[in-house]
Amino acid sequence: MDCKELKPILLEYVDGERDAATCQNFIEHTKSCPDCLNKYNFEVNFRGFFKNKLRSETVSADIKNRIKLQIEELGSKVSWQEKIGLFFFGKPVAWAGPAVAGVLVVLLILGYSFFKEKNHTIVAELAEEHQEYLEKGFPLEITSDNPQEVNAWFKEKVGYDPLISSWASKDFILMGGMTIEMGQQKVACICLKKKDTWVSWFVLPDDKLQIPQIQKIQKGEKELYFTQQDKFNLVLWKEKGRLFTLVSELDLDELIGLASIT
Amino acid sequence: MLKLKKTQQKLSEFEKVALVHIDSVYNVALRMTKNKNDAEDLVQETYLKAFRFFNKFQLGTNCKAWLLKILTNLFNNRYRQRTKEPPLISYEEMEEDFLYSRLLKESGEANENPEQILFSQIVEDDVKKVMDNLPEEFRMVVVLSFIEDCSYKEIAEIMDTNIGTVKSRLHRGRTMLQKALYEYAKKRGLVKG
Repeated sequence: MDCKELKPILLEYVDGERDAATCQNFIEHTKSCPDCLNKYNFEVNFRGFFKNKLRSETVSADIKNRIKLQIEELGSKVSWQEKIGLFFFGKPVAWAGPAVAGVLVVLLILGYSFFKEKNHTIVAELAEEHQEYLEKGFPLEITSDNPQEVNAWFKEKVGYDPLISSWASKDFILMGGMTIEMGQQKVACICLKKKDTWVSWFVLPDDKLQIPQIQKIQKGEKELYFTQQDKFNLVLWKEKGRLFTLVSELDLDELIGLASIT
Repeated sequence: MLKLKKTQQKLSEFEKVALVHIDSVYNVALRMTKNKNDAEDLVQETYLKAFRFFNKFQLGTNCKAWLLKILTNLFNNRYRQRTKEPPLISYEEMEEDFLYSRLLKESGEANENPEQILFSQIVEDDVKKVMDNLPEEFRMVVVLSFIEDCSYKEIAEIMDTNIGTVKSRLHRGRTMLQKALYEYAKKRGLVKG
């Protein structure tokens, strides 16, 4: 190491930033170079000078005590978690807050999955039914393209009229219908066809059934809800105390068109 | 009872680990705020905040650096605007080895050791003035390095900056201090100038 190499790192050496090997090289160099040694000594003294003159201040005992007191006070304060403990257990319990928060989170998750499951049930079940019919054939109990006849048949079988009106659209052909068991209810299923594509039209009598939180569209006075389940499109709406659901592989537009003209 | 025991445990741990550095924290606060009352307030705020977040401090790591980082943040947020800064010194005019080269020249003319005279005769209050006149960003680095013996890496972490910036500020800070000290010594007749 020579003076030129030493110069840029001298201050780092003074500040204790150089590794042992560099320090050894430095010591070796200063043995034969009084200039560098003097410069080094000056920088060390300069540093030490400030340290000696400015480090003498100490915090007064008053301030120290004040800080200690405040910290103690802070430490003994009842936190919100502990306040919840005080509310539930009559004494501050540190784990009560997180525990209550945890229970709330679990309830929320359960509530959400229950809600999701419920939504899933209506939409998925009807789609599954339709899938089954497509695979095994539609188990029609009445075969007729006359709405009045089909209405009368349903009134006898399920106890209510599915309100099939006369068709405005010639594209759809009424194939007939059957009754199915869903839960503990008898549900009317009317079957239509557009060319080769089948449509299942479920009519649930219970107005209390909730329509799942899916997308909504306003068609005239009707609020139509629509969604997709597997390869099927579904359109749901409520009318005259009944829940109607169309399930088909047809485009959503066609199903919405069909729902809005019935 | 359990709660009381836990609080006492935390307090005694905090005293052992953090409160032992109070004089260091105070010295830095004093150099940064330049006045006793503000420094005391800053120390107090630093410790209250540190206690609140003590569970986030990893035992076994450098507590002094952690406290100084809290202090620096508080200072930057609360006191910085209030402190009147002296006008910035132009760095370009800075000369390498300002004081050393001048003292060397003087020692060549006389038999005395001017370095020793200078360092031994300047009174504490004047040293404070010299330091306090240093612009804030340089003062902080110099105080942390010279007085608190913090490494470049620690200073960079405390001040949220990089080691390169620390090195350059420290270098410039040193030169500024030397120039100020020399001017002061000249006025007092400690060096011929």
